[in-house]
Amino acid sequence: MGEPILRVEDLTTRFFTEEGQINAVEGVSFDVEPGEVFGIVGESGSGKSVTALSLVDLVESPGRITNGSVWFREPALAARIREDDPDTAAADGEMVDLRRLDDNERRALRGTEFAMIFQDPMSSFNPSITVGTQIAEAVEVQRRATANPRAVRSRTQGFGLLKFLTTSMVPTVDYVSEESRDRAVELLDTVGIPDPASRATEYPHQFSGGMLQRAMIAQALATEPSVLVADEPTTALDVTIQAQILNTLGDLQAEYGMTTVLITHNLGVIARMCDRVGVMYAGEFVERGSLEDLFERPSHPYTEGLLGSSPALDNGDRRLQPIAGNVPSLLDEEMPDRCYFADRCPKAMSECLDKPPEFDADGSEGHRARCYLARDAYDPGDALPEGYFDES
Amino acid sequence: MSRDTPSVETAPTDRHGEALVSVRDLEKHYDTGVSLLDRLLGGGSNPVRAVDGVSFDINRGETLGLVGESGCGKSTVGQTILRLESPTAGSVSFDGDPLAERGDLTGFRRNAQILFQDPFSSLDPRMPVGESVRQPLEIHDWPWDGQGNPAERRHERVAELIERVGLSTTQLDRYPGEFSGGQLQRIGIARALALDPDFVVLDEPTSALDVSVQAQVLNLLADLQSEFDLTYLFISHDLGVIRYICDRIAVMYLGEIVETAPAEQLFTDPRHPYTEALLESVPRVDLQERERDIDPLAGDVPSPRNPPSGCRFRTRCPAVIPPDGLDIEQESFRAITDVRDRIADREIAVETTRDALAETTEGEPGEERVAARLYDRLVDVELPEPERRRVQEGLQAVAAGEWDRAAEHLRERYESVCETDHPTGQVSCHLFEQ
Ligand SMILES: Nc1ncnc2c1ncn2[C@@H]1O[C@H](COP(=O)(O)OP(=O)(O)O)[C@@H](O)[C@H]1O
Ligand code: SF4
Ligand code: SF4
Ligand SMILES: [Mg+2]
Repeated sequence: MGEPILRVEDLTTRFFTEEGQINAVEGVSFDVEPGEVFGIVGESGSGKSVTALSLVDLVESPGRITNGSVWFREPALAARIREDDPDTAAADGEMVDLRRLDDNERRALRGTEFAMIFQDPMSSFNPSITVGTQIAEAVEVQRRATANPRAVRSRTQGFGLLKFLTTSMVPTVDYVSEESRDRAVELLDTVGIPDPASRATEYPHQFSGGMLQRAMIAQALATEPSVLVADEPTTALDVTIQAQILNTLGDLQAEYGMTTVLITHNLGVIARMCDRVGVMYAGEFVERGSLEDLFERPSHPYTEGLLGSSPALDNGDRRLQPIAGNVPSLLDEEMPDRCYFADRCPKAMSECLDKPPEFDADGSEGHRARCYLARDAYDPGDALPEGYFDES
Repeated sequence: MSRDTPSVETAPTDRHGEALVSVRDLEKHYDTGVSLLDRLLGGGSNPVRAVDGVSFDINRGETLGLVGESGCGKSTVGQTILRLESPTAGSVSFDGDPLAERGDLTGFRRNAQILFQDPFSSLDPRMPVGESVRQPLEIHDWPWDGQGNPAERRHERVAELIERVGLSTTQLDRYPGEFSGGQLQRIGIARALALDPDFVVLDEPTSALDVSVQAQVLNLLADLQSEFDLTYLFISHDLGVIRYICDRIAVMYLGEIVETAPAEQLFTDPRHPYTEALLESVPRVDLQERERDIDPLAGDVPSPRNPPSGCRFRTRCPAVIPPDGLDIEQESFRAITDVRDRIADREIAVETTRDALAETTEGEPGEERVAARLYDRLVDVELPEPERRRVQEGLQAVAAGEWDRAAEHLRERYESVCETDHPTGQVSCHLFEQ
């Protein structure tokens, strides 16, 4: 394995709501290599989106990252920080910890090196400004940020990516240069929008869902990010449009070598796009490894369950093997101190009443699973009695 | 018959194979207000042609799948069959009788049920779920045999149903808010089956559920079908789910059914170019998926207020048939067709182009230069010389503001049977007509 561009360690994000504390992301660790597509898969409410927001530091109140680090490779900045303070905890080798940087540095870095795209492109654009102008503003923000990180504010703040950029850099753009407009048209062309010059003059509602999703990708590319975080970018789209967007993302990936963290609940999308994958359940990464690790030798019963539940297109006869029970609550007080999957796990043993750590699993170097079965063979004799977890 | 568990002990197996539901030329147009988007798409005040002449049979004991992308009319078909919406034309027969001729639909309503996608919205949040399941029994005055104490019988029936769908009678007093999506969908199923119907429309019944829970509900639906000898119309946009649960499949596009085939055949040997594209675009859960080349359909589905003439799929079809005698590659023909579609919709920004040109040169740019610039913008393939010239001439007419002449000039040479003739048949495509 090469040097990662992103190293997430023990990331923990909680929401402190009136109903109680929600453990949305719980001790999540993974590496992402430069130029790869790292997938995060899991069912709704498993903490995928909050993980994404935590990566780009967009978690809002009542949520807070309470623990862990997000290391990002930025050799020059790491060196500078160490010069200022030789004992700093914010730099490690060539990496800097986004959580430990001071606010200005973090925002500048986040705004230029990271970009995020969302499931719903409509909410990411200001409905009263043309698509071209909004992308041009992103270009402008990027240009000025590189020149002078504190000088810009945008009219589109509050909307999706621009909100992200502008909260990154405290900006306003009332003036968008002709160059930035031309660049916006180029970007629309890059993401496969036909006749981009005239589409640039249209408003978001004049775009179809698929076209707007492309426009959002164009906007994300405007900042020439090193890392693109895409949260369910095709979930709201029809399959034929999904195929278009995935192809576009794949082409961009190949062309710019952009590192991508792709979040989805769809195992097919994972199979099509990703090099390595993390499986989330109840706020944790229960298994991570290469695509082969997960598909050929899944180690965690939840991963097996996900694979067994997915109807296959190429074989209609297989009976589905569902996972019993329901997706769990992440409310702290309702989270028992055991393997969170135990109540649905067909192989739960008495040992599982102690929370399992991550174990190395068979397969690639990075294949790990949070399950005792990654270490020990399954012995039906150890199984918990049937109905053990049934409500009394 | 369901592939999973052939129903051996269920009663009227002998009638399997007979049509329980017959739909003929069913049409549902909505005459609603005009949205801004539609005006922009040039639909004017035309009605939305949600369902535009579909015909099919659903045989006793089978599951017919209705698949297609959002907005293609699947749900409207389901609702119109059940008379939750009245059709604007066409007929539906149930068990041999046309519904339109039945004065009283009570018997039909009892016998034909529907299960919706969103389990939260289909149950009353202020009503304990047990009461929701009992409601149809009360409305239809069950039991009809007049035996025993009705309240007791209903109570027993609700308990039996709720256990059959995998929940416990201790949960009957709880409210919908206390259940997960999968549990609510089970309750919805219990309610739909309360009156022991023959026919159930399942409208995206698992689309709101997570995949692990979806699998539970799909297995349950398959089991119930063989146990109670049910006939299903299963509506879904998810081809994996459709393949798993259906015996036969009808594929919809823009208000029409483009292909009907047995499930196995549809998936192994799709005929209609749309079916083929739809199947191809689904990402497989398979290690080889990354290597699989997908050539996705270009563009978006046109507005159902103003569907294309001839074959409705022609604006996106990768196999449009060129006129006789025109020897041209599909990619080139597609590019020309796209330009023609834009001319038809008057969707070419001539003024912006002229202005942009004017900025870079002295004086007003001539039509020829505007046309050349438009050509560069709109045609991104290398066309053979005669076609290049023809398209360029068309664009010159556009630059002169003569849209009709432009359209006519190109139509003369490029008109395809796909735009003039409406295809029909089991596979509605001119490639499959003798
Ligand atoms: N703004 C918020 N306030 C309170 N709880 C939240 C908020 N955002 C997410 N959560 C909770 O965090 C958990 C993980 O959610 P999410 O990351 O959105 O899951 P996924 O993306 O995997 O569907 C859920 O229990 C969710 O309800
Ligand atoms: S730790 Fe135990 S309960 Fe948890 S997934 Fe592994 S075997 Fe199942
Ligand atoms: S009729 Fe023509 S446009 Fe329609 S699907 Fe067949 S080849 Fe394509
Ligand atoms: Mg999410």
